[in-house]
Amino acid sequence: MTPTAERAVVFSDVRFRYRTGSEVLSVDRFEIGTGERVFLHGPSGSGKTTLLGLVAGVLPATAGRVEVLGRALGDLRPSERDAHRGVHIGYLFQLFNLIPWLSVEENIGLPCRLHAARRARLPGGSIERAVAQLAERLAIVPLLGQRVNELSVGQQQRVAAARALIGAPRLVIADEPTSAIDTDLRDRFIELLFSQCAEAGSSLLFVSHDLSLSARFDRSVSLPAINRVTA
Amino acid sequence: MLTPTLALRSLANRRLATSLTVASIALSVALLVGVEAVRRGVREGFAGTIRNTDLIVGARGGSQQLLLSSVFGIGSPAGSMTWKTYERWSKHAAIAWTIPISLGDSYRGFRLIGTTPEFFERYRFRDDGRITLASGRLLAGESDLVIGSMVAERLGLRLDTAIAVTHGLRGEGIADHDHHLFTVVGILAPTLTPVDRSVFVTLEGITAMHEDPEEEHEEDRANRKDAAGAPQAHSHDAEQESITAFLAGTQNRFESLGLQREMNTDVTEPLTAILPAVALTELWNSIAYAEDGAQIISGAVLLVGLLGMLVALYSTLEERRREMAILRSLGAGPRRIASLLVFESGVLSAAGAVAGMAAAYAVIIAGRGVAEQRFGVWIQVAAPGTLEWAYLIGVVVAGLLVGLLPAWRAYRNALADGLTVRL
Ligand SMILES: Nc1ncnc2c1ncn2[C@@H]1O[C@H](COP(=O)(O)OP(=O)(O)OP(=O)(O)O)[C@@H](O)[C@H]1O
Ligand SMILES: [Mg+2]
Repeated sequence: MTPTAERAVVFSDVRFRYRTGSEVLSVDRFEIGTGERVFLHGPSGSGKTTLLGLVAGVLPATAGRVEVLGRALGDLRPSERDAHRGVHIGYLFQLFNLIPWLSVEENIGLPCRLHAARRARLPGGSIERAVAQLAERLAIVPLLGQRVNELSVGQQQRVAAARALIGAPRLVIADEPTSAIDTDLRDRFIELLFSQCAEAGSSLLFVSHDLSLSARFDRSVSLPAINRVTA
Repeated sequence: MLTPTLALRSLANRRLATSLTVASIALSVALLVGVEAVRRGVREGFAGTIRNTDLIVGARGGSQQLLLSSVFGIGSPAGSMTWKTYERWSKHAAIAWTIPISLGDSYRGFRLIGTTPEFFERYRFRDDGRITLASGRLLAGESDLVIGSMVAERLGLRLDTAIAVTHGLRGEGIADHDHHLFTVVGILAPTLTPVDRSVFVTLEGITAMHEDPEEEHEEDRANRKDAAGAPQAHSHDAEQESITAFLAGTQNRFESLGLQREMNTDVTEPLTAILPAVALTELWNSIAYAEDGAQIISGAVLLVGLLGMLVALYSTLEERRREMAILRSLGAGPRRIASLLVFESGVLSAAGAVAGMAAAYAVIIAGRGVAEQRFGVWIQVAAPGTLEWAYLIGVVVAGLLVGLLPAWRAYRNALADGLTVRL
């Protein structure tokens, strides 16, 4: 087995409950290898978004150990966890990915403005150049000057992808990013995501209901299969 | 530096709501600062009613009574002093000048001041303001009469009008001294002091006026003795034998206090001497409770403004939960999210405070002309004092505190929501 440090995510005996509710997750073992593309699926309410929150370090595990990119999140202080996420993780939401009061360009550059270490990874440390390059690849150059609420859903998702990918994060997390866009657009979007992750050597954790996508990934995981809590 | 930038962008995105919130805070600050500035302006205007005069001296009585009767023409004087006493004090080594005043008569509700022409030279108000003539000339002969601007306006008096003066302070026509007619020789320019409501004649004029048949005079005097409970100010007979009060300037300002004591303790004739500046402040303070009411109301308005800001910030929280989740996903800590909201409220209150202050001063500067004409109130425009600055800082601090509540809510949400994007 590869040493822990070479795996992007390792869950060991992780349990989680929301402060207000009953237990949502109880996962004995869940791993993502470095550079691996994992497809995670499960019915609505099964705890997929919750699991992503644990990986991202937004939600602290109630018990057990969550290791992300070689660091045990439970050992980090909350602010360190936030920084860890900001610097090393790119996150894509299902919908409403963009901050309405920032321009397209500012949205993409935001992770690098929030975290100097993320900015430091850009070639020449230039946010403008990195934004321009990503925009080129994702075919959103003409959108850069536009207001966020003037974009179509598909355009918004590509802008969000650019923001998740800027500064080559080592782990990209996507929570149903394609559920609101049509099939044709969805396929091209996933291709883009794959090529960018491959280029940066990022691992990818991709959540979706749509099982037809699973074949394209290195591995497909069913959350109910690994979660001992049954909804 | 990121938090301010983000907060400002967020506010700019909600321009209408932002400007309404700023406007409501500005309004309450303007009211608070405005009330304070007007209060201070009126007080300074009031304190400037009489300047340059170091002492006012009258018959033994209350100092407020002396001030009110001699400067404001309100109430009756405590009594009179003999001309001899006046002359004795005017020759005192520490005294530079004195001006006698004789009160006790009125003309159609406006009080009559018998004095010397020097009064107009010496009298100062506010910042070296002098009495000037609007038309005509100052006093010279015993039939001359000079009127203040308000007297001229209200009674529609013009130069060269001949008038008879009322004996006593109230009413008209009951006991007019119509055997001695005065002629209006001068009309004074507005001063926004009690001078505007006064009618001036010479001391000789006062004497001449009272040189009428003895019996009427006696009867009169008896009446007024009853009413005022004290001998009246002007029991002149043929000769000028008494006056009501006198204004005095000292050789050296610092001697005023010593002189005051000397006069107050003199046994030859019991006198009361007051320092006008001190007495004016005392008088103001005794009526100042009225201002407290205004202060309380404007403070309450400010509170409402701040609560409005709280409501405005708080109501955006739900719709901004999404945005908070995105920021969280990008590695912004719950603290950063809370500080964004606190910064927003800080900006709103600071903008409101500055705008309110500017608005208050703009209105005062633009409106003081109206206050002057309509109400005869002088409002001194002074640079913002410590109290105004304290208000400003207080508003910003209060704004930050008000922002803490939604910020705390956002902090809690950020921890509880995870990455669930709520709609
Ligand atoms: N912030 C929260 N506080 C309390 N309970 C929550 C919270 N978020 C989710 N839950 C509960 O946790 C469970 C799992 O929710 P989660 O959002 O992880 O499901 P999901 O698999 O992502 O569903 P979907 O496919 O609809 O997005 C649900 O029962 C939900 O009600
Ligand atoms: Mg979900």
